[in-house]
Amino acid sequence: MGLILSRAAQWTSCCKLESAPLNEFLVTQVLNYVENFVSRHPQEAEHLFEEPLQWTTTLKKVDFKEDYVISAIGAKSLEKDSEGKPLLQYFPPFVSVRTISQLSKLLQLAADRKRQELQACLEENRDLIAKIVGQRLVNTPEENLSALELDIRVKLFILLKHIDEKILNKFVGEIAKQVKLLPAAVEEEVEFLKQYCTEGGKRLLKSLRYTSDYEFPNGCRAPPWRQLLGEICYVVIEPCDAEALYITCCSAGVFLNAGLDKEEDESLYERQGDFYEDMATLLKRVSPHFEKNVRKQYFVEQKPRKSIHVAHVDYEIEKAQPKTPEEREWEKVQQALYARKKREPCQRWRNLGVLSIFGSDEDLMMSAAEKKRLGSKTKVTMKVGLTAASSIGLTASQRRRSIVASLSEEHCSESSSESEEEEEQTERRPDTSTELQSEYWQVQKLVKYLKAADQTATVLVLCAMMDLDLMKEVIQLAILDLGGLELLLNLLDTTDIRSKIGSLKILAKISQNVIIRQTIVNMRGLQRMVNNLDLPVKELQALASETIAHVAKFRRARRTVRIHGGIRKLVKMLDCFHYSAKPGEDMEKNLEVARCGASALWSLSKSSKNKEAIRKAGGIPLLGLLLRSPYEKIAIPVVGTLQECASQKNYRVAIQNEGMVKDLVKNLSSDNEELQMLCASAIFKCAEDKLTRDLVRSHHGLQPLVSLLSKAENKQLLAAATGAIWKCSISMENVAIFQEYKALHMLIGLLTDQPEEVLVNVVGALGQFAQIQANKAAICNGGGIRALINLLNGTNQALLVNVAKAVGACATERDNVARSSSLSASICQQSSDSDNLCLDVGPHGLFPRMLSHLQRN
Amino acid sequence: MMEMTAKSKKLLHAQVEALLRKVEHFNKTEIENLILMFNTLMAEQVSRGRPANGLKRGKFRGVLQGTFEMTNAVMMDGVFRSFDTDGDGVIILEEWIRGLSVFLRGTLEEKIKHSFRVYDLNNDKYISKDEIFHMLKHSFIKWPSEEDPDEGIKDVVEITMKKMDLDHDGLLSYEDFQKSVLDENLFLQAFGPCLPEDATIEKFEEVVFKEPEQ
Repeated sequence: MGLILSRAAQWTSCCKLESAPLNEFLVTQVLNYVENFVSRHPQEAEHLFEEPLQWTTTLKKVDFKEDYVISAIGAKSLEKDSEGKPLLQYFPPFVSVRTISQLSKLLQLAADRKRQELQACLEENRDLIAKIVGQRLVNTPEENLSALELDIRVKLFILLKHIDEKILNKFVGEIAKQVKLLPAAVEEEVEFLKQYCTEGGKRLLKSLRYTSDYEFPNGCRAPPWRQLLGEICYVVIEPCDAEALYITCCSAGVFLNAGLDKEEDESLYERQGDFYEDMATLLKRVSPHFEKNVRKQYFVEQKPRKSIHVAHVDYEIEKAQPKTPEEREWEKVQQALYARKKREPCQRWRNLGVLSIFGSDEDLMMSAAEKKRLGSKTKVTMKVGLTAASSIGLTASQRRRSIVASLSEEHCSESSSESEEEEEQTERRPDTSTELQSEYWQVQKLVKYLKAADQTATVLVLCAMMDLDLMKEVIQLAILDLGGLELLLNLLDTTDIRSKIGSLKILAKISQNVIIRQTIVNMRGLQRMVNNLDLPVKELQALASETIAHVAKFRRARRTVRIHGGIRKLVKMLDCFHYSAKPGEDMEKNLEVARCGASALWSLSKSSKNKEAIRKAGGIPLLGLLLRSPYEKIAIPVVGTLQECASQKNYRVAIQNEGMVKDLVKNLSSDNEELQMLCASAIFKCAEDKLTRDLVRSHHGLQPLVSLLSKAENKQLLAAATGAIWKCSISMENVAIFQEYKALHMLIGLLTDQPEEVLVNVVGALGQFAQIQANKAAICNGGGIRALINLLNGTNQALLVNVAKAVGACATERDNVARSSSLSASICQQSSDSDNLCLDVGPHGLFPRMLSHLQRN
Repeated sequence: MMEMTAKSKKLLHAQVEALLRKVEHFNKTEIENLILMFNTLMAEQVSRGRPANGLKRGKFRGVLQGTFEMTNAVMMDGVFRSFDTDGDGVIILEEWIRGLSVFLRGTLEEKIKHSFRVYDLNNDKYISKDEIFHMLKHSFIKWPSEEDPDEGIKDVVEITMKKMDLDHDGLLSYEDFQKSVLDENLFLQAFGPCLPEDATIEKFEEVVFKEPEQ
């Protein structure tokens, strides 16, 4: 049994047998042999061990019955050796055994704990054979053994070696049956199960997601140190009828972990339950809903999978195990699920033509040994895989979604929230009608040339491609579908600068398309662009970062750039005053590089970890420097990045300390509305701090803010400007200055017919203005109260809070109370201890509305 | 470096001074170094009969291949033609310095002129479709074997011509070429590599322009 323990068994670091299915199999096998040994080889079973086997037992004194003498300190066997020593001794918690027959008796005593006992015995006696027959014999070469044949000790040794071999043989058979999950297989299953996270009758699960969006090139999502343990990825599944399940997928199967989600605490990786061969099996065990419905689902989808049945029958025969019809049904579903994911690369990738890149990786992953082990099974599963493939096509097309998620929407979302962006993978098939268009054929021709061309012709073909209308979706998708995107990305790996530039010129345009962006990320495109960022060719740097700016519109992309060191390189590109600032052309190029770098950082800065990374790379002072430059084109992405990052305290402090407030204020008066909007938004975020509010005032920033209020048609600008005014008016000195510029009057005018983003800020500012006595009257006289009360009909919580505050501030004035009563709306004093309500309450007045909102919240 | 007599030193000095006035982009030491390089190349040039007064085609191609990493024969001949402004079949010292000033430090305008001369194979001031086809002939290296690569090449020539021939006369004049390149810099070396890569230039300057050893 030496070989089994040293080679086959899987050990943990502290010399325990891992509780893997294969180890369990081993222990069972050894157990069988030990139990039968006495009857088969009575003589050898009585042979005395050279050294007793000793281990920590769970047996108690009471477990030892007849044949044992029980004493105060323990127990010993009645059977003794020739010198009168007992063959078994028990001193809690240790037990020592000196013959196989005693061992087997002990296992009988242990009854249902015998596996546990044997496992402990194996664990604590790694040199088992040496202990039984002596180290010397173990070291004797095979051929010398026959000379010693007569010795019973030698016989025992040979017997044990045979057993060792037999178990190993069975073990190999077991491995062959074993499931070895591959990352592609896991991804397939996840994709497959995702289809059933829908609402309605088909629903099997509430939700399913990975804990990590980042996928390593080998297809795993687990961090590298966990990949060493064979772990592939972690999935969180919410079944319809149970708590969320945290699942680890590793090469040996899937199991529940200790609740691993976004946080990576080592203890969370621990296994909490049994191994299952895939997620569906696990779900079937824990979720009765899933089990019940997956069968139903199966019958619904039975038709397209018909061919699988045939293949499956072969499999059944091979297994030759009788099964209940129910079990068999399940097996079939399993088989359909399983066989498909085993051999079938993800359909989406196939569509995109990525296989040529990843195919080789896949082969690498499956080592020769593994292939051998799988050998017997492969034939069967292959057959099933092929037939199953056709049926997936159907489901994939069912999932077809609208082609383009709104481009404009994502661009507007300057907030730091990441959830509502392009998280979802959009599935798409070309419409047949578009295929016929001439542009499609044009693209096809060019892609074909691109495949064949050398460097010179490549550039010419790329130039021809640039002449197509690359902003047109038909063309973008044709490039994608015909394998052009892959070729373009491959060019980034070459050494030819001109091809790279040509390719990036095209990529920078077509990456405005959501699907292209996602495909670029899937094809490791961002890594390749990041690699080109530090080549000393400015045009290349600029184009690569411009493309990154387009692609990094969703979280996984932003993360990829960070992980591959892109942020450091981009920050370095901002440093355009660093290298010999020769005026003229050189400087212009440097500024262009810096502009593109800043644009990329702007996109990237929507993730909080990236904000931190930009800061750590020394980005803040460089952004400050660029902000001071007189070029509006640069200022836009720079301020964009700053206002995005200003959600972090570090940045707000830096913006104060680096004197950027002055430049932000200066740019408020620019002609460019986008720049004005970004500056106002930055001030909005930074003016939480008193020092910043004072700086805005001392740099004369309040007046330009007020003048922005007249730009009523640009709602984004209006929202940012009113936000900045609100936050600045937290300082009463500022309110006084706002007064001078008649801000109050303009704000009251903005109380009607504005989007909520504007209203929240306007009302917030009014609440601050109302802190000054004179203003309270002004608000009421100007019709402000009526407008405010009307706003209470809305549902926006932030707005309601601000309205309540503003009305509360006004209501401290007696006159106003009276005035508002005359509006037939009774006012309550909404002071900080909000229960303190006064005056009577009309049916349509303020109080019932406020109260109902309070209750609702 | 060769031992220099006082006479040859004086000659060198005079040459440097003369060229300094004629050629842009180089300083005194740089010109001096390039003259020395030219002299070395001339000395290496084995000539039967009477010695040539300049670098012959073969020797020059050797320089392009060895120093500037060019491999395309058509392009190398074109570069020779571009350097050899008087068309006498040898590159004399002044042509050598002038050519290299464009090669290494040329402005975009100068480089466009150079490229145009390279691509104008028959020196008739126009680049024709035939000339382009000749230069691109072997550009499809992974063409499906059952198809005729010339078809594809012809199509690429056609597409490119349509884009660059701004006055639609079926020929690329210098103006057509210049405007196209200014519009899209990638067309500067549209029909083959005829200028050294930045990295090669850097390497060359490092070796040739280093301060002469004392």
